[in-house]
Amino acid sequence: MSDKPYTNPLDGLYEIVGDLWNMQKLEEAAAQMHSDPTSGEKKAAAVSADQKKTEPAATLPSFHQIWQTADESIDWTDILSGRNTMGIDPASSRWKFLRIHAENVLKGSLEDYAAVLKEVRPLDDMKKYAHHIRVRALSADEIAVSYEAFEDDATEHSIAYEEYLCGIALRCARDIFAVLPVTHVQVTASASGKQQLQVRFKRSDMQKTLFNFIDPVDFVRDLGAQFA
Amino acid sequence: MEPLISKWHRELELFSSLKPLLILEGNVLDQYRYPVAGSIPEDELVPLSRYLHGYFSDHGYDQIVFYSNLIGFMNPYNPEMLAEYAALTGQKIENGVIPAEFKGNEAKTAPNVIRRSMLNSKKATVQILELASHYITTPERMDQQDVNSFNLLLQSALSASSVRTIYGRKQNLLILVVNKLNDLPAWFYLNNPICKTITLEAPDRDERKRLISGPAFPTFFDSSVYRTDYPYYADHPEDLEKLQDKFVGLTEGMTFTELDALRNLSRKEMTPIRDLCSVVDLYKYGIRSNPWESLSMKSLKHAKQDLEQRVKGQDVALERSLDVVRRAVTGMNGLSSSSTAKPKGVLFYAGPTGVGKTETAKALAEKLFGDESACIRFDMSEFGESHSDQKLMGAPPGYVGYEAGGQLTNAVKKQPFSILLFDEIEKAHPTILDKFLQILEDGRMTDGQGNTVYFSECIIIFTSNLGMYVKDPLGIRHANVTMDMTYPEVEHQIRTAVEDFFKLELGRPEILNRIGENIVVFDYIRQEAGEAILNAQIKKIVRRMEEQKQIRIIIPDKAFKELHDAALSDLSNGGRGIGNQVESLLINPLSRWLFEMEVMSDRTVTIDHFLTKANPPAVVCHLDEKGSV
Repeated sequence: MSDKPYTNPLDGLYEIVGDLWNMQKLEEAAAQMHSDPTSGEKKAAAVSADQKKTEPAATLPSFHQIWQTADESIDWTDILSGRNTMGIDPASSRWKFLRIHAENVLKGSLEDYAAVLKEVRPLDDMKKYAHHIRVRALSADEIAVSYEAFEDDATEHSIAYEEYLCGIALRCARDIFAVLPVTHVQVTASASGKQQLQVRFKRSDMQKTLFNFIDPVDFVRDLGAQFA
Repeated sequence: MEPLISKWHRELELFSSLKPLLILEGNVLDQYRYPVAGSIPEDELVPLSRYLHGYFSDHGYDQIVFYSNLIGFMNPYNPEMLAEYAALTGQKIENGVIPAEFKGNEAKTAPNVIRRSMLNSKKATVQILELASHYITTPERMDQQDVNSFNLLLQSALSASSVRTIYGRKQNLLILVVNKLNDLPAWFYLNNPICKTITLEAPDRDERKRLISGPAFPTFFDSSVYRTDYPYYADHPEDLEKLQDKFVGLTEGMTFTELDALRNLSRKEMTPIRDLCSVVDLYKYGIRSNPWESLSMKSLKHAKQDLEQRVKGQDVALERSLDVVRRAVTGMNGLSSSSTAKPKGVLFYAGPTGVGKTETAKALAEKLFGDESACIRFDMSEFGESHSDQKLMGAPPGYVGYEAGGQLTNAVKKQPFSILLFDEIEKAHPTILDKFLQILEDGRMTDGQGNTVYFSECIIIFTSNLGMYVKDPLGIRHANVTMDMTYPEVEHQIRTAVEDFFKLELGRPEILNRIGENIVVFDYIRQEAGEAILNAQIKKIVRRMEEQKQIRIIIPDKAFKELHDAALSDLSNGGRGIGNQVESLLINPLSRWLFEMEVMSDRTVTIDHFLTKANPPAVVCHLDEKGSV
């Protein structure tokens, strides 16, 4: 591990979401939306987020399956065209929410990215494995995810520390690609204030990968990842 | 954007209020584009059953049920409707369906259940019999129970009630969905005033254009690709329109199911918007890069010189052949027709034997696709029987050789980018010419196994010796062209004879129309071209002997003139005749002499004389030490 003091490479960049799982910020967001009587959809999104916040984190059967699965993709081009391929009830608030945001998401609007992340909360189920997960937009093309790792977590799941880091990084990237039309996701893991891993995933590479058959460490290393 | 409504949809709209019995036939296994937003979003591609369910729901029908003789009555889209239908007809639902046999006299058989619901005047009901042509083996082999069942359906339609709904009065409807109309008994639909047959076609140009340029356009792309690429096309709508027009042309003849597959492929491959049309190649041929697109203008600029290395004395024929290639490369082929799915080019080579027709085709294949083997040759004299089309296109299911497929369709499946050379086309059976009509017009052919083969990336070349001879009224053959004619005279005579063959002798002017102005007449091999051919052949032999046997062959001018005069004395057999002469006057005598002198390698042989009048011809040679001359 490097002894250099850790500086977050994302510091100073435009933060669109902040710590989505920071209760105080969510409450602020909810309060702000309540004060806007014209934004019915936003209210629904905030309520939905609050409800999820109190739910226990989703239990995953095994850590080894984290990178093998991902959230269901949101096909924004389908939604823009009114093509409901995801099996969502067309009368539901979720469908209306997606329809409202589709056009701007496909124009790369960071505000709409943020709204989608708040509504869909793609990384919620990762709270069981990592801490302080943060999401930021570097541009309309690229999202940065950072999380805090603890070696104890790896021990708890009886896996090598590097596998633990890479597995979570892969899953975070896959979940972001599933919900936003970005071309890259950068994931940074840190522990005790020091950077442990930084890797940049490309959407087209991920699209062609059979995740059941990869070794997450090899995969991440092949992408030119920087390990501590 | 105005809704685009297909012809069959309009017919359905019109006749569902006029006739109680509708038969939908044709392309019924395809998906269809729902034209107006309702219970199905506008422009959504859906299977026919969902389309019909959506249509009749939107038009105020209370009950819509589907029937299959293997499953029974069902409604996968709205089970509540099935429950109401069961209550109305006194049937029970088991595992989500109402089981009912098609044949039999019991009250619970499908025709009896259908009859009860057709007579009801409480709920406007549509009953859709899916793949109804499969309920019987063939119309000729129906037993009395089959006849009774269809008869009951007919009587149900005759006595159909109408129902008052909030949309006005609605007639109970019986709809039969069939692949082929003649799989139903003719008495059921022929001259039947209560029955309307509606034919479903593959999507036409307008339908395809609508799909790719309407609201569904973004669905052809991965979301990230669309987000990054679309802003350019939003600013350059003319570029987008060109792209969409090209896509529409390339997908001619494709069903909606195939277009949907193209969409899924494009998304899966994350195809950029600018490369949309490459997905069609990927789907049709399984390749990503199209050799036609990688041909450079620069390499084609010198194509004529390259071809002249192999084909001598055919200046006009080479130029006209290259015109077709240039049209294909510049994308100007098919500009005068509505279809861009046609072959890249069609050429009809006519002229004397041995003048380079086949050689030109091979040389073109090498030039275009980098390999002479891309010229796939079919000797049409082998396809002179009436059943020969099966050899070429594949036998239908159940016939001997079905598994093997057709020679032509297999070849094109394997090598879609090729030159197809049909030698001596006039010897093929006329049924084969019918198949060519379809290939030349549509650029596609379905083989006996049901696989569609595309010819849109091929150049098709026919060769023929038509016009060389004509028959007099007594049936005696006379030469129609002779070597003393000039090329324009030869061209005129042969072209006229080819046209007469198709128009008068064969009675098929439509085939001639498909070939258009692409009849290329090859000239006789004249003296100058003959000399060039002879020189090239001698050089080739000398070079090979040197390379392979280290035997150096020297032919002094005097001896060469003896060979030259004898080999070129009769040019009526063209280049092949010169080759035969070289074999007879040089190769055979020389090999005999080398054998007798036991010269196997590493020597220099000088040929002093060619004894061309001897029988067999011989050579007079002497040996030098290697390198001494």
